[in-house]
Amino acid sequence: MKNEHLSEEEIQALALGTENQGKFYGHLQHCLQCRKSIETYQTIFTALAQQPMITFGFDITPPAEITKQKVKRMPVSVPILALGILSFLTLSLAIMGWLASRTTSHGLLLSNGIIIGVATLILCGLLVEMVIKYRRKISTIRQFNLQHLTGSSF
Amino acid sequence: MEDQQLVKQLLNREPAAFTLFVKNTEGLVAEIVFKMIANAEDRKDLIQDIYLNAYRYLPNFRFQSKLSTWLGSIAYHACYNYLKKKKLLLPEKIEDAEHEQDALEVIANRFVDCFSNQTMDYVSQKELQQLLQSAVYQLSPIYATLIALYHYQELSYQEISTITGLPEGTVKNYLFRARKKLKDLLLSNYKKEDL
Ligand SMILES: [Zn+2]
Repeated sequence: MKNEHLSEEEIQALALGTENQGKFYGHLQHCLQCRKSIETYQTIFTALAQQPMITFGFDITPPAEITKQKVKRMPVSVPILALGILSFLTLSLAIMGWLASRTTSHGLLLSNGIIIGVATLILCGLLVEMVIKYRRKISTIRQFNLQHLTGSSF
Repeated sequence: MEDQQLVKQLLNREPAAFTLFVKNTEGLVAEIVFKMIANAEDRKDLIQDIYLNAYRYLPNFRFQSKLSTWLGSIAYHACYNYLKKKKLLLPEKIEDAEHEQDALEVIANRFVDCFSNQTMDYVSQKELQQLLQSAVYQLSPIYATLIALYHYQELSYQEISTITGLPEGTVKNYLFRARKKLKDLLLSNYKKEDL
């Protein structure tokens, strides 16, 4: 039987239930102080387990990869696709014009005109694409900032 | 939902999976961040960063622990680095309150008398919760976090070791000291309030 007071480690272990009381039974029977120490820890541990749950108090902004995905499904954007089709059609016309130029002088003029037209069209298309991309980026940034600013505080 | 399934859905960029991921882990992440970081605005930024980083590094997750434990580790280290950067961290400073024990025993007895008394009403229980909460926040950030992870989140020493990167023996030792410190703080607080 142990006669001196239990160590702090022993008291904690008994309060946690990781140590068996048997070894200390004799001492605990007559020592109110040690029993009280164990009870104090047990009161604290129970109260700790019953603390209310903490929540963030605001919504987490999902990663851009998740939100972006829905908007960007097509590997090629609509303006670029339209431009491609138009270029193909006009180029076909240009080739036809060039073939026709072998017989008439009007054909050569037509073919040159069409080639210049195609080049202008491609340039315009690229410009439009750039503007669209820029606007989309700006709006995403604005949206993110807005969510960031309006999220409720703690 | 199983971790494997949730990870698969997250990697497939399913927005609902992300919402579930946040919902499942909010308690743990909040405990870590709130116990370690005092500033509310910084907490908010850190929490946002923790989830963004978790999402970014998710392809590296190898299921060697629970998904929540893995995220807990990201959260703990984000807070730890923040504290280190702000020079608010004193991990080596471990208060030794051993010699105060005798003086506190007397108070301890009174404290237990109060709480084991049958006439204790709801207000007193609420008061204990409040005292406990303020006492926990008086602990060092790491001690407070360890207490929350072990006694509130009910994680094992091994899980806490995985989250914090501290050896299991150190976790046990810190927890022992934290519990003792908490008891001492609570008893002295209770006495003060009572006087
Ligand atoms: Zn004793």
